[in-house]
Amino acid sequence: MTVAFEQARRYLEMGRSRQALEVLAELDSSTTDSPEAYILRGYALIGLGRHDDAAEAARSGLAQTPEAVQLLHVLAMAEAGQGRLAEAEAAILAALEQEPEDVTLLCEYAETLMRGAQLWKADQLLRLAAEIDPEAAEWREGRVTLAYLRGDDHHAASLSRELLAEHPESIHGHRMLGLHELNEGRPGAATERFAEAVRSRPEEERFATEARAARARVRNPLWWPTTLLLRDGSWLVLFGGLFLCGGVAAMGAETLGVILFLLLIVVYLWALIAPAVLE
Amino acid sequence: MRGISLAVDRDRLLEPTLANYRDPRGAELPWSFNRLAYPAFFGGPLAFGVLGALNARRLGLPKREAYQVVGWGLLFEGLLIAAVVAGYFVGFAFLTFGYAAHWCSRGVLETPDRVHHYFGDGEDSYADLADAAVLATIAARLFEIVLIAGFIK
Repeated sequence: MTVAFEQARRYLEMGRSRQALEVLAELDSSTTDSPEAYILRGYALIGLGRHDDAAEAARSGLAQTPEAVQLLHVLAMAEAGQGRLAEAEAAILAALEQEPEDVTLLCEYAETLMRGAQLWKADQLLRLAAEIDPEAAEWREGRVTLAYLRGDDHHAASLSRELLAEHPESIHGHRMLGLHELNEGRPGAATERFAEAVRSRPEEERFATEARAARARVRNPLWWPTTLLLRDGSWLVLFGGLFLCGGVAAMGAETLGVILFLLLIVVYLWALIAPAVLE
Repeated sequence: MRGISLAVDRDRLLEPTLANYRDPRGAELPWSFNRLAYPAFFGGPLAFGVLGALNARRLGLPKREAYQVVGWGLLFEGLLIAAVVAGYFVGFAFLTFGYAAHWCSRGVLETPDRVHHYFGDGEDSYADLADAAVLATIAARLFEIVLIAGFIK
């Protein structure tokens, strides 16, 4: 039966929760109630967004082994996913009591605190995790999220670049950098980042939606003025355009100058409105 | 010394602080903060102030924060009306006053908005802003015109 567990674990690592769950469904009666089975089932259910089922699996497992750290971890994630942060905190602290130096658990707690908008404490926990294991990807990922939630987009972007330099496989890094590139008017680069995230987590609907949205911005010409407006220095283009209109009018072609001016205004207004209309 | 202070910090960090957490969001979904830039741009500071304050309540923020957003709206509306009444040429720049109020409200609304969106259901985590934005834009601009006309007379 360890073969089945091994297989399920490998599917989970590949982001294929549904297949992992299928493997686990075929376990015989002697192993289907083992803690290991509950842990893997819990992670798979969380991967599919079925947080209530995951919480139930974790609780069934904890009924047998009340101190299993990984089951507490699953329970914490499942409760947090349902917005029950007090319960999630209780579970994660119970796990941390046994493994106070576990970086994954510390970062999970930091994320729970971020959900509750306690960003300062989350920051402290991530620092603690960084001291314990400077090589780990988790606290770097948490730091990116934290900077984003604080509204510091440029810092978040540079932190994601740092993260990707150390851990090129980090899906979180690719995704957050992609979101930043999208906001900076570089949908082409963002499309590739999102494609990377979709390749690693094919079941995550949110990633697929984001990838589609980025592709639309590249392909649909109605998006292009917005893309241009988001780029650095777009205001220079506007002033240059206004200057050109004035110049054309001053040289005698007044009608042409006015038409160019109106065109410029229409394009800029469209660039502003387009996200609301097209999305 | 460092080791000792760190140990104290660790213990304190692992004390529960979410025990009294209740989902702060109201019955209605909030509007997207980025999208509120539209009524701010077209409807002016007043339209943004009203919608932003309502949104602060929808995000579950205390009343104080909502008043702060209204305050930014009133401040920039006052500046705009004062500039026009005093006879300064405002031109297209009148569109930027609402945007300024939006920008100044980032400190209050941005993080709660991002927490809500990031951990929520993607685009489904926001309410539709279109009707409220159009209504607020028309009402605020009409009010503005009436007020300015009254002052100039």
